[in-house]
Amino acid sequence: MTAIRAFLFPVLAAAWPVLAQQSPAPAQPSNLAQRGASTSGFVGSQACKTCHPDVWSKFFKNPHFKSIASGKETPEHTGCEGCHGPGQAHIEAHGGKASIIAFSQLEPKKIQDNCLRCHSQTLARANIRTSAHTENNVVCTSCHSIHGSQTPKFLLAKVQSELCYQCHADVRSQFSMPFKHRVNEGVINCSDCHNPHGTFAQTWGTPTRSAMVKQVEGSEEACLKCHAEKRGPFVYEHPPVRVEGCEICHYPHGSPNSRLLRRPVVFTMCLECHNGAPGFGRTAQGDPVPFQFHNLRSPIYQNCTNCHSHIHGSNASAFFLN
Amino acid sequence: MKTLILPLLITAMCCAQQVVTPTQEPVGPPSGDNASDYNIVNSFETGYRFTSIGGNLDEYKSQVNYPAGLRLLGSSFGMYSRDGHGAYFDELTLSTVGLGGDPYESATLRIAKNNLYRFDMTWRLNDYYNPGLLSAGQTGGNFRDTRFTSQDDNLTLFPQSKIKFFIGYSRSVQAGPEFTAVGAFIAAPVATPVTTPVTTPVPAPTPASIPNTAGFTSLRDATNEYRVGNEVQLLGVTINWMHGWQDFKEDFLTPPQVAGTPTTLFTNPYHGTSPYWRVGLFTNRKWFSVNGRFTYTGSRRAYISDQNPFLGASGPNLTGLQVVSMGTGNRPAATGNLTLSIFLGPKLTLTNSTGVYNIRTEGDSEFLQLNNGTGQFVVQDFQYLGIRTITNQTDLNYQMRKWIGFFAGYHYSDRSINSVLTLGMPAYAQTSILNAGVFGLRIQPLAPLTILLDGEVGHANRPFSPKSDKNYQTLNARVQYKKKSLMLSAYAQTNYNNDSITLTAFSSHARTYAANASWSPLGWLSFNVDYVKLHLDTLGGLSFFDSGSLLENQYSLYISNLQTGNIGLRFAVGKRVDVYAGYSHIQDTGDGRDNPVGTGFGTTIPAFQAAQTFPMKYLSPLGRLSVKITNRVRWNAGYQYYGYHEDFFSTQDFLPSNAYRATTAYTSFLWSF
Repeated sequence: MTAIRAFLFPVLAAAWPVLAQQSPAPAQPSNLAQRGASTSGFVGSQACKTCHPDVWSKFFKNPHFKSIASGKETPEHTGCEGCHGPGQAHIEAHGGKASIIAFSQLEPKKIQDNCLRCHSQTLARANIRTSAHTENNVVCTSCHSIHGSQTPKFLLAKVQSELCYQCHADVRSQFSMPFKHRVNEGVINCSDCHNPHGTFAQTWGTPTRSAMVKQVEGSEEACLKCHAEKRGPFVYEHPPVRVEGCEICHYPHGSPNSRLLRRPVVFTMCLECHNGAPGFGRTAQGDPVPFQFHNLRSPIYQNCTNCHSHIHGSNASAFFLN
Repeated sequence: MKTLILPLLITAMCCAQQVVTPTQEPVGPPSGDNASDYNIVNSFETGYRFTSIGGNLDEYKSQVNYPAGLRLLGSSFGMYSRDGHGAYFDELTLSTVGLGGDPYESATLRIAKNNLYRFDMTWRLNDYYNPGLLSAGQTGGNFRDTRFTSQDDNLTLFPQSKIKFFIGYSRSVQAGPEFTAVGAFIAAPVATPVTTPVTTPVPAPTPASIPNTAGFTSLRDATNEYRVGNEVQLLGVTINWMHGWQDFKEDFLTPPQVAGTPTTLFTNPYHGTSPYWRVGLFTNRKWFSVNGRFTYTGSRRAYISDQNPFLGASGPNLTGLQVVSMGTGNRPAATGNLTLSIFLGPKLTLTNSTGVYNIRTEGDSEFLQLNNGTGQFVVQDFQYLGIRTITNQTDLNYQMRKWIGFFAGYHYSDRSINSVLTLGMPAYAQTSILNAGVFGLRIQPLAPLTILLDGEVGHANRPFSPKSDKNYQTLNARVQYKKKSLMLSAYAQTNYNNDSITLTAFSSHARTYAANASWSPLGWLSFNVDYVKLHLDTLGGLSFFDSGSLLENQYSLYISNLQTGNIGLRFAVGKRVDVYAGYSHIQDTGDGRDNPVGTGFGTTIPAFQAAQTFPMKYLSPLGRLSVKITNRVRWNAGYQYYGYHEDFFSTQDFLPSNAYRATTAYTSFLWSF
């Protein structure tokens, strides 16, 4: 293998003028090569394309190309060496992963440290170093492919939903349900509701079981960004909506049941709380049992939301009737 | 290299396939075409979608909803400056899905010029149709056929500098017809005239006062959000702030019904605004990081409601009433988070996070209810609901060796809920303290093999509702083997909650098992398969009236055994033909019984027994053929079948069958100019 590299290197170097003419991205930022060349081992990105023309030829489409185009960045923050480190030793060794920072060889933490040198200064990534993903060694290159991205934005290695499904196969099954949010159809993405880079502590529901759910506006659930009509305030709030969050009644991803409900039949879901058990509810006297005229044997009373149509909150009825 | 990358790209995209369109095969030169100082990559897929539906059309529309017609099934356009110094922009990307009539459509646009600006736009449309709640044999009275569109626009100025500015605008609109029972009780609160402020909750309606006033409405609500912000990096600290205003309005109208029947005119313009501030500041250093996020949102809602029921003889006390109610309400929410992480060397991280959440109803929160018939009015105050949560969590993460690491943590929360049902009456206050411990273990015995084990045990001393977490525990195990193009993974999770007190018991057991395999042994062949089983059983206590008699100590035992499987296979025939075939199967076998009333647990009322299980089947095979005609043109044809069946509720007398069978297909040309 070393012999092959030793052979290929001079051949590619000799062929570079021809390859350069074929490249669609003849980026020639001012004095780039000169800036890159230094005694600290930086050689500039121009040197890299000799052996890596396939990477270089499309690198102008890469967001990281900005650092080259600006022509103002220091060698350790620009182009190939901005991420892969000084290339002098790599060239002298005629290539090889041992002579340069090769991300495929790095430990997860070092990969993240490397990327965060530039990408840490964003509020959305303020908790990345302590996120559940990081704790489980899911770091930048687990989801992002710098040179082989398949998405027009964010350099994702795959379509976003498929990336997440790789590890969260149970979530894939939820989005295959008869009723679901339209993730597979491409209308919304996982990141519309979740922040894979880590979130601040969740404050609704049970605060210890966060699933990296984004917080919108006043640290409210991400659901309210689209379902703004549920935000209120209402004269009469249905307290579980505020206290426990939407998930107390709904599956957020997908469900066999209409309206993403946790039960196929509404009255069982309502009655599981409205059973008068002491200690629960606003007054700690129990969530009230339906009034006597609710003859639960009769079908007319079995679909609670038939009448209690404003179940998320109402301005006119303490019973959420209108 | 290109011959190696291209099949890998195709393979990965095919694994993502869930719906048959748009076609995922690439077209045109991967490197794009040069035009002046720009490079352009593009593809467009235009075609016709066919559908054939048998069975319950309503159910199909509520689940799938693809109609026939001409479509721009998908498109992608990218224009990139070749030297990073474009005149007006350096990057322009536009991609769309389903334009021209699909129920789910989206478009994303990005225009950016290096160092100067970046503009992102996302537009989505979701056609929502639901003929009431129709699962498990239920017929509902609230139908909805609405269209939801939303658009997010975000402009960032100087995106690569240390001083950035953000300007954003979002708009969403939901509109369409709705059939609702919302008018059924509009006069109930003034059934008994009141001349003084109400001091007790309004009385419950009685069956005699329930008029049949459900009707069609024209639903329209719109949200507009404006925001402006800035981010500054100063002395290693980043300060980010955002100020926004979210305005919401809902115009609701129930028109009169036909003459001779009880009629209702009910309008409810409902407007509000939620101005908010958000400030974040953080710094990341070698040995520590600190970040804080603080928000204040002042949700205000104002409304006026014209409840004008001409109820005829359907309710003796309700005849000729005209009721107008109006009011305002404030609900400010203040939150704060502060996280400190200390990196004790490369192996040990200690993190402490504190969060505060405070929300309350306040101000002149009341509404007036005027009875034009009598000249009397009611003042009804907003019910006060205050929630204050303080959380603190400490986590320790230790990577002992390269192949093994641990993490553990202790989480504490104190949640206080204050409630005032009637102004002037005493407040109800309750506090729930939650203590939880988390732990986990990571093992990587071989380079391609990763094993993760973690769990959480928690106890809340006073949960708010019977379904809330009280004594809960979760255990997770994940094994993943990834080598070259082969990935195998398995996952198991148990999630148990037990919340039992004297009158009732609520316990929930959820167990999930999942396995996934994907492999691309050859450039022209790849497949993906996954299987998930979810077992859920919940036991809840019930109390309710049965023909006037209160039944207590009843139980509901809901059992679900949901199994899902997905398989996808992609292969190429020669150099021109790509074939993709997939199959998705979802089946709930319920609790194993063979009839709805079976041997249910708890109450003997048939409807209650039937509600304890919901066996159903939903399957969807799909196939796609893509033929390369030239380097810039492909012809595609696809087929996807949807079949839905509820085991117990599709053949009952006088109820519509919920089952449907739908065949959808399409033919299209995918081209690049």
